[in-house]
Amino acid sequence: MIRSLFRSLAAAALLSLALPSAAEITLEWDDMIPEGWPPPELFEGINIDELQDDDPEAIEFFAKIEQLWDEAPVVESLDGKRVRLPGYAIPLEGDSRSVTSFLLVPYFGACIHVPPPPRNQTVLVNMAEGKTARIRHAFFTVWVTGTMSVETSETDLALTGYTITADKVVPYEPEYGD
Amino acid sequence: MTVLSLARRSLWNRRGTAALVVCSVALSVALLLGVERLRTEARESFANTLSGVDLIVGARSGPINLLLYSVFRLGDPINNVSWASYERIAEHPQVAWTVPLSLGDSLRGFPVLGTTQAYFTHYRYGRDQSLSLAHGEIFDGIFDAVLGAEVARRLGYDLGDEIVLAHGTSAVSLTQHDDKPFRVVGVLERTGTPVDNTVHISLAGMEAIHVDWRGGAPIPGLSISAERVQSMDLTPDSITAVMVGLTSRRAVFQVQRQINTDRDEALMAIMPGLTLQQLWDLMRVGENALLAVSALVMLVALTVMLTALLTGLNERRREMALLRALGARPWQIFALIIGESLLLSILGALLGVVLLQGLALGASGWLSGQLGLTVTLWPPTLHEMKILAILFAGGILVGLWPAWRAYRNALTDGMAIRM
Repeated sequence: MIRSLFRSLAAAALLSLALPSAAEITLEWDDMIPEGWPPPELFEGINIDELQDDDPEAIEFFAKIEQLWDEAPVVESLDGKRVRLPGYAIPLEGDSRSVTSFLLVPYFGACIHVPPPPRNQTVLVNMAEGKTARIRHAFFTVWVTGTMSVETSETDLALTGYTITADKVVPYEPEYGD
Repeated sequence: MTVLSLARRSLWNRRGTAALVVCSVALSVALLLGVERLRTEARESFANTLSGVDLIVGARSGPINLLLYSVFRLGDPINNVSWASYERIAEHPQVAWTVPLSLGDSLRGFPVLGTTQAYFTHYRYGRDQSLSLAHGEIFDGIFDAVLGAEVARRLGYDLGDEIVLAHGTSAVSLTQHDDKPFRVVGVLERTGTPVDNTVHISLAGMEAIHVDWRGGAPIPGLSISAERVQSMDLTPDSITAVMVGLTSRRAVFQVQRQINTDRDEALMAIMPGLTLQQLWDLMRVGENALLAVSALVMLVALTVMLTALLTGLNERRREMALLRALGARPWQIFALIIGESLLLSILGALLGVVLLQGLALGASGWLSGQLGLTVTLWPPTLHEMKILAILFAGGILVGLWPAWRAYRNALTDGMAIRM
């Protein structure tokens, strides 16, 4: 009796810890890709299975994909929202203990063996004033909580993308049974 | 009061053993703190060396190798970057600035870096700090040199002095560029990074001293004077590496990918922060092994202390009985032994810290010269405080067993008739 009471209390406590506060949206990486992108007609007439790496057709196809990647559009409605997003952290600035700025990407090893994640799947995270994050190893998995800003520029593609000003970065623990 | 003074005299009477115990604790403390300090200082110093650089480009080899030779002047490049590739990178629309780096010569063991004036504008260390001149100015002419703080101090050079660079990176060099001496025009402020150990000259200067060289040696019979070289085209054919700043950090993957898959030249672009992190990941195994060994050494030192206390007990039965006869209570005997082991570990810790301090002072020149490390020992960090606290806790724990034995003996000896 008492034991089951304890158990349910513990479960409630855990649940309240795991649940984000109402104000923030827990984002998934797909939420950051606008509907209808990438255009499905891109893959028409291409049989990915049969493509060889050094096939000129394949080179052309991948060049086209990479260019499309570079021009990937962003979801502007996310601007100003308070979000929570998991991902792999790649340190940019910091000292030996903590970082103040890093890139967040959705897949491990992004940027080394395969084409890099498109612009709308790369988030620049700047820590809020006076806050730092601990990145324990390369491609450390974290939950980032902060304010999203979406920058767009017609003239310079490089200026288009997502930035989160984060006030909380914690190691990622998978949430089972949600 | 008499109990305490008797205890003090008793310890003094056993000063030989006590000193040995203190020494073994001190050595273990020095080892553990030394390993810990060197580890954190190395990390700190590496992490503080570069800031605000988005990519480093060099010949295709390994990311860690490229980072080490281009930024920390450790190891050697396997190939150069052609000037044409450098220009292509510099003109890339998403590249905001580039700083070419050319290495390979030295001044009495200190590396010489050929670069442009952009180096002094864009190079950042620590938390976005830029380089500043202690005195003099940035190089302008072909044979001008700007010295890092440590080079100027160690070699005693000042503004206006003539220096002769040597070919290769060893401290003793048999091939000198003595036909084309350089003039010191500036000395940089101390930064605590490898910049302090570097001699900076212009790319044109680097090219000028090698203009009558082919394949790593001077061409016999051909000597071009320092005056004649001024009128020659001194654009280098190749450089060692390039530091790149982007217009937007988010474009870093795209630019990196483009450089890595370049079809004209086998180039490689690395993100310094990520590569440094990978270096730590690689070193972690070694660091942990070192820490484990030093922790074991501390355990051995504590065992030595335990042995000394336990064997001491038998000799001190009479002393204990005497203390009891003088009115000491069993718990006082207990506290006495614990206090003694705590005192020994505190003395050991103090001696260890002093020892390490002395060692660090003695080796600081070598460390900063060889590794570009500046090791400061004082004040101790929170982590080191924790290590010392663990040692003291260990000291008390080690005291528990002999103290318990003494407590028991004090009771039984007090009651037994034979004594």
